[in-house]
Amino acid sequence: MLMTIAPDNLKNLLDKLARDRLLVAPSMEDGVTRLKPVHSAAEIAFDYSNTATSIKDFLFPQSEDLLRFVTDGTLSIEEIKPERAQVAFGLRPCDLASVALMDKVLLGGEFSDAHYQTRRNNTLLIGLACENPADTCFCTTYGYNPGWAGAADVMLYKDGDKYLAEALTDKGRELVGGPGEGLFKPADEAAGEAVKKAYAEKDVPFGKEVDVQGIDKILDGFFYDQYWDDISKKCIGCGTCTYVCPTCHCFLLTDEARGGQGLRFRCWDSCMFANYTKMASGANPRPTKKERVRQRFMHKLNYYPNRYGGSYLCTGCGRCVAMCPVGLHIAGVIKDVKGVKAHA
Amino acid sequence: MSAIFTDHQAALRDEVRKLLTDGTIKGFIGYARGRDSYHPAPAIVTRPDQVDGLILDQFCIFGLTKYLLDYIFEDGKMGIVAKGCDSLALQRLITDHRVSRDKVHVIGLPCAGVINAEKVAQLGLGNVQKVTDKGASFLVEGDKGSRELAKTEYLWDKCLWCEHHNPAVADSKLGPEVENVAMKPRDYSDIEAMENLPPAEKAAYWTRQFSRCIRCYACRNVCPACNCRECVFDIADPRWVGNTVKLSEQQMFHFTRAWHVAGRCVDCGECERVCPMELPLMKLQHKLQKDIVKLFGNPKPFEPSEVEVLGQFRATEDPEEFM
Repeated sequence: MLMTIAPDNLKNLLDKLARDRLLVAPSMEDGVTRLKPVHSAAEIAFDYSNTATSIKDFLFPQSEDLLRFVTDGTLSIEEIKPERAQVAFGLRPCDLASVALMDKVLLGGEFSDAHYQTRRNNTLLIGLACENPADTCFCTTYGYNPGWAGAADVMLYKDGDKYLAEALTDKGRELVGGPGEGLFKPADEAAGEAVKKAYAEKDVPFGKEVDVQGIDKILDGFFYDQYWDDISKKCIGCGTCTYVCPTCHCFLLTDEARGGQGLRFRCWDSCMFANYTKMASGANPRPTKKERVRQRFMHKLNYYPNRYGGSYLCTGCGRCVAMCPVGLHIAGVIKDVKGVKAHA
Repeated sequence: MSAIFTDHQAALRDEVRKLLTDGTIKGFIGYARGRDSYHPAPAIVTRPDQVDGLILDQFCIFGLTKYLLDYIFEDGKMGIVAKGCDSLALQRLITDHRVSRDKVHVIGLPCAGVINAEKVAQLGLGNVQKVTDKGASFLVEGDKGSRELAKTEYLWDKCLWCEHHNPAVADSKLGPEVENVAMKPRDYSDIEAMENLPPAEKAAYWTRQFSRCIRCYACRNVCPACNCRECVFDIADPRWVGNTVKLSEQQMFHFTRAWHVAGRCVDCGECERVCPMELPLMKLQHKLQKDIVKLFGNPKPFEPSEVEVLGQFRATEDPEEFM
């Protein structure tokens, strides 16, 4: 069922939610708009193309404590669970699509990642369709679009002086019927569908330039291509692309113990780092930038679709396009591999 | 009206093609088109057929010299294009004995300032077709509009106070030298303003900045002064700085790095420019520079020298009694 909500009511709702859970929303600080915890709707930036950081920070955080242990003769282990309820507001379609891709990895197999599962269960996702896709956005390449609701519990579409709203999951319907009671009004279905259609068909110019169709198959035979030598030379081995990426999910497990007490935590790893996959012996199967750069793009465009059935591990959010210091980004690689020269 | 970088593009390609073909160099570090016409990207070419991908335009800011470290254990020379500021970075690497001068062929690029693409890309001029130097301004013509942009407003800050317009290290030069005067004096007024803030406000400011750090290490990886064989932050055992992303680790990283390059920073500003979270990292270096000028009487701590202010020990001259 489609509804509408006035901007003031939306702010009231977010303020109300912030009282009993962590509210995560786009917020501008020193010129950077990123998803961050905010205390009230007053801190939220509503005018942004996309946030510098993604929803990944709150579902699969950069570092996360997993368990505490004590080894005073016997071993006792206490699991740390991310119990706190969160609500993430203002998620763009690319991030909403990324959650579905992460779910396949972390929840889809024989074992599910308990911490990720807990955070997914505890997090309400409120999406906001894109009014002005950035010139680095290319979500349409992958079949997503500026109105794509993906994993959203509630999806919002700015429509003139109000928002069109759609609750898509039980969690979303509970929000509308619970804390949101009296704040939403029924919408005219036909008019609402027209608004959704307009967003879905909104032009994403950069998306038209990048044609990903069939690249997984091309890459099947591309592992040893000279191309990886050529493009990896300019990589500076920083972690920007992987850390701002909503779908990169490599991590490291670390135990830190002192005086019989210890903590196990995990934190993101980056295949761009020289010590990625470096073993205790010092050996590394990916010893140079070539193997590491190849790993990142093969993972996204070949290994993942081969393993998880079809979709690519990229949603066209454009963060790596905008932020890679040396212009070595996935849209360029797709163009190159498909034969359109974008890199020297 | 003076020449702009684009005027030298053809000469650069010719020279690189010749150097690669006659075997003087085995590869060349230059620029190619990046994601759009405002963001040229570094490019490393090794074959003559790649040379036509090289570009030069007034947005070519990236300091390329750090790439030389990738080739120090290989035979043969690498070629590189270097502006005045880049040549300071190169001197840094040579002075630190990390790059050997005879293994680099430098094509010098006299430079009257690089346009700040981040500012110009906001103006809606579209795909840039042409840039003309009008003396005090640049005329930028795009397919969606043109604007004459005052240099004082649209150059990178470091270009405004630059006193190194002509490369100090070069085997050949593209075009004649340009007049070597700063457009305005080096200015530490923002640092002075910060020094005068109450401690709590300073702490709040830097806490906010370091909290935003994602520990991607882009700042370290572009920095020509960060040229250690193995970085302390990459050592797993013992782990000097934890992997967890929290304020104390971020502070440890940034303060350690700032102090490690203190007196060795060449003021290229690349750390701050590449930071995806826009941390004002050069403020730390400018504070240290300002202190070095004042405390050690070295007016230009950003010019590499064999005798670094913080790299020497003169016991008898130290004003500190304890020493």
